[in-house]
Amino acid sequence: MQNIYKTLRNEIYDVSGLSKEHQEILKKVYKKFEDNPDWLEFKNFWRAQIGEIRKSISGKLLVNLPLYRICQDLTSRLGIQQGEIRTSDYRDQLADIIRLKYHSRYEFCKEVKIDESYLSKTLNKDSNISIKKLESILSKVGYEIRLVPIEGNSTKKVSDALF
Amino acid sequence: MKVEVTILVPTVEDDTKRKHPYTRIEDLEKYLDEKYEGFQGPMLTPGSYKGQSEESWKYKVAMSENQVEQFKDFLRKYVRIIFHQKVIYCAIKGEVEFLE
Repeated sequence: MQNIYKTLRNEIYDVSGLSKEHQEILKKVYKKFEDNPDWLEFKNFWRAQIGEIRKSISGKLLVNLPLYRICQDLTSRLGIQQGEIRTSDYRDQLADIIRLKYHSRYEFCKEVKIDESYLSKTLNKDSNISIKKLESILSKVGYEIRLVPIEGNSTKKVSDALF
Repeated sequence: MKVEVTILVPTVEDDTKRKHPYTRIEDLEKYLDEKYEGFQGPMLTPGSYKGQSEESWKYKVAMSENQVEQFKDFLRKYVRIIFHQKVIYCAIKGEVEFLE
């Protein structure tokens, strides 16, 4: 029987497909998660649990393990619940693209032919951008819109997915 | 020979004072785990440098000497920008640098 875990980023993992060792670690980690510990304490906890695994595989393999990603995701859920970090939306993604690829918002706006104050209002949530406009802007910088199911940060959903 | 590099990542964006989205932290830590055999921390520390009054997350990253320049480049060109900071605090063998 499949036991599906979906991360805040909409990555999907079949927990029942994990090795016995990884399932045991995940059970311990999840038990800790249920106690609602401080999110940084929780991070240290699961990182200690995977210490032995990391000695035997490369960093690249480690960060792509479902176990690693689920633990990271649980940490993010705690951090969000505790108000230490926040959820992410398309505005953050767009702002990050601009910051990484362009010297300034002005340069970006010039390239995609939009008004700089309009961009600022959109990024600051003072204005909404139409899907058509967003599609047009993104296509000019090599990105596209994708639809994904809404995922909250409810622990009930996590609990249902795991054990 | 391994070198320990300490970095401070402020917990809020410098320009807006908003908390960071979870994706930034996940991506940073994945990168550190993938490229540099992991890290110690993060530990919450008070901010008290270069006008930075907000708290920071302190990370300690071990790496070989020949990886240090590449790491500093990563801090300048990725971490500083994605985390909306003017500078990133970086200490190597007790010497502090503010990477712009």
